[in-house]
Amino acid sequence: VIRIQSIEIEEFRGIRHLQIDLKGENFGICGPNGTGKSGVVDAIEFVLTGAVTRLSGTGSGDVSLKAHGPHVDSRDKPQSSRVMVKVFAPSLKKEFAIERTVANATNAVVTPDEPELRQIVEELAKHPEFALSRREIVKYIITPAGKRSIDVQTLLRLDQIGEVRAALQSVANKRKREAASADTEDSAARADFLDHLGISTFSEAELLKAVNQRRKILQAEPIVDFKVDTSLKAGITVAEKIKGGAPTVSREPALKSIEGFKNNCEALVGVELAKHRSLANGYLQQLTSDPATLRSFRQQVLIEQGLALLGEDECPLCDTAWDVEALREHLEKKRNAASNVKQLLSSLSNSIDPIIESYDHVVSGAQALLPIIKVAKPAVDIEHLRGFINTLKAQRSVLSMAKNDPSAVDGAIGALTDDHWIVPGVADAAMNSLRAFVEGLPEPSKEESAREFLILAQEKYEKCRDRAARKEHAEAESALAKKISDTYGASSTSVLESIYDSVEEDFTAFYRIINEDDEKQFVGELSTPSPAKLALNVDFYGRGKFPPGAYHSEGHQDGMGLCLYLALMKRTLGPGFCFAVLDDVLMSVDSGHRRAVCSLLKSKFPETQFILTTHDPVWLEYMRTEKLLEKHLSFSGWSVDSGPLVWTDGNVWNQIDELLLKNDVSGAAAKLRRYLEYVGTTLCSNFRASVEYQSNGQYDFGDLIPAAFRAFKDQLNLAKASAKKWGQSTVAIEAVQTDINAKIAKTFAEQWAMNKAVHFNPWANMQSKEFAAVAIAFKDALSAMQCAQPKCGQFLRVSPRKGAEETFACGCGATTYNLKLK
Amino acid sequence: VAKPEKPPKQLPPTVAMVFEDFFQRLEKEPDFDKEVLDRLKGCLAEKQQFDADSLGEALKLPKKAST
Repeated sequence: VIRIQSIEIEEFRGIRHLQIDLKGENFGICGPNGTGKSGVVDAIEFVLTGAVTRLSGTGSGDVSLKAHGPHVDSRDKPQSSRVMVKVFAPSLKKEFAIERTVANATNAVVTPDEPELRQIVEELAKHPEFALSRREIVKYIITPAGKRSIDVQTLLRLDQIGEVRAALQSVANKRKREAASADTEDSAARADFLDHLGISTFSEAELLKAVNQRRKILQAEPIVDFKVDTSLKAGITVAEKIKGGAPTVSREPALKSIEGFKNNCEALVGVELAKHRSLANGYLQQLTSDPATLRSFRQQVLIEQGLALLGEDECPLCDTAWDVEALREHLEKKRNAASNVKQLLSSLSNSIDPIIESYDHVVSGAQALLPIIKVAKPAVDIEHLRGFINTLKAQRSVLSMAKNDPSAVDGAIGALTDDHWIVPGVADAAMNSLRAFVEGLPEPSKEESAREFLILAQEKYEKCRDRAARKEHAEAESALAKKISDTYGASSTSVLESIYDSVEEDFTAFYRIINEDDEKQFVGELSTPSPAKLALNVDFYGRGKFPPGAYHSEGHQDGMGLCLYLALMKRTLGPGFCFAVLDDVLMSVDSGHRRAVCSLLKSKFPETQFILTTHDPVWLEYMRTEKLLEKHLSFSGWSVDSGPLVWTDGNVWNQIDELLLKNDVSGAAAKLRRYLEYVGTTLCSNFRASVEYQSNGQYDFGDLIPAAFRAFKDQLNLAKASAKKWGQSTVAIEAVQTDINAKIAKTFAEQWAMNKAVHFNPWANMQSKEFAAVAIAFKDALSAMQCAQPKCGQFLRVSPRKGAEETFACGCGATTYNLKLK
Repeated sequence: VAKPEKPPKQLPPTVAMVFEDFFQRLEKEPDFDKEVLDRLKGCLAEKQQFDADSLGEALKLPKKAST
């Protein structure tokens, strides 16, 4: 899409002002932690997307781009917090600028403002994945299969595929629940109908037998051929019933209902329920008296609800896929951990349930009284009875809730301690009136009973038909939704698998390049155990395939993360993958594999501009040696006032000269010291110097520079010995030795090793002229250790890094000494 | 005057590929309800509605009389 030519950052994050000239090429930024490297990465992400991942999303807390994007001293001036990049679009062969301020982060200023350039900027904003930190890269490796599927699909711009899959699964789940509910209603209606007919299983003969028995009493024609639309009450009308004036309630059953209701009401005030109330009240008091118990109760309720919802393969709220068994195990473990509360809740339930049950008996008994109340003469005033029943219903609900809802506990205590369960006297009087009415009723005739039976049978039959039709419809919709969901799952799996196959192939090939020394047979395998999951298993030295975190080291996992990222980007952007920022992503890759990483990036992605940050100068040196990059910046430190302390080793001498021109010896001395400490690590590594080990990893130039100089001399001695052994001339080597010895001597560096106390820092008391001589001495000494070719200019390096030395050479090979002694 | 509807955005190629494969599989299903298929195409490919409510609406069947 683009290549970055230059970047200018002002008052952004920890940076006051920084200009970097990348010229569209790979670029390295090196510096210890906390020197501002990631600030540059943030700035690039910000100018290209209008956002900074580190300042948003999970884990960012109260931090935001608007409030915390500007430098801390410019936090009230977001308009001055600005990043501008000049970029080149290879597809259009055009150069243009993109600029954003924190004050107006969402609107990039594109210059020149042309539609095709603006389109590129809009496209870039959709791809924040071009900038990647180690934390982000490892997420593709060390992550559950369900989460990996989401992350990878997001990266591959496949989120809509998952979105549709989740929606269709959600529809299928809903339809399944509806079908189950329709089935329950159908069964209930069928059972009710059979119960009314007095038969246990449905058969046409049994049905007709029961119906025709009643029809015969009414002298109606028997039904001989039962069809779907046959009316069981054909010839029997409601009007006839009214005309007859017969009572619609039968005396004996009505008396039975009234007696049952009374008994149920008496049970409410009985000893048994009083005992349960007392126990339940005690348990509820225990819950409220101890906040920890109450909190545990809340957790238990949540866990129970979670367990109840575990039937599906995904969260019912957000449709995120989960491993049902693992989650169930986790929740059950948590539930069992709070056994005290569990026991208390179980006891509470055992004491509340009988109370609820007795309330239900009273309420359903009252329902049975309604037809009697309706025809009672004189009319019975049931207001108080209704009030009593409503109170029971309300208190039943409160008691029931208290078993599962901590917020209902107080209400339940009230429901157990008042006397709402005592039937009011006026309601009792109404019941007596009702009983008197029923006792005065004549027994219904056989004809009336038969008529009532047929009318009710027809009603129940129609209800059966309706519920059967609803069930059939719900089952058809459920089957359709399942078919659609399954078919879509098969389609998406098939297409995604073909994509994952190509990613898997590249991932394997890339990883083999990095680890060709010991994992030539490595195979990575991406598979989809279910549509919502993406499993990654990798070969471990031919012992089988395992998840990446199982046996591979952190360094290998970092390498896998990079390889998978590169394979995914290649699949997503194809030739459009021409820019990536890798922020310290390979910090734990061991030295043996660093060159291979450079080789991978260089050979497989020659058209991609990489901006790589590292806190390890040796790593940077590898990148330069392997010609992955030429240009780089080194950050030596950072201060809140000045931001990163930056130099390139190409101009450090000019910077020192400039400071000396201003008579700033102290500044020049500090710069030289920092530079020598920076370059010292590279030299010691390159020359295989022996340095006294410091457990804190902190080495000053007194530790590094003399050791590096000694090692350089040692390697030249070895080169001379080797030349002699091979019968070659040693004149040239001796000339170099003479030259370097003189130059090193001029630096007085070796004295520091003997007396480290003096190096802090006699230079600061020098005059400009005196210090200039010191700086020149170091410049000359260091130059003598580099390749003289302007295009190379690399410090010489011993190869291999371990074991018997073979060569001492620069990257281009123009300066090469043989170190082998036959 | 009602605003003309915006033309749908182009689907990412892989997403379009999945939809295409999905519709083809349904078309090959014997006796698959063509109206349902048309509604699904309208919802996914044309209107690009990927939510459960819209898809649920597309998957509704006409109610039949009691049997």
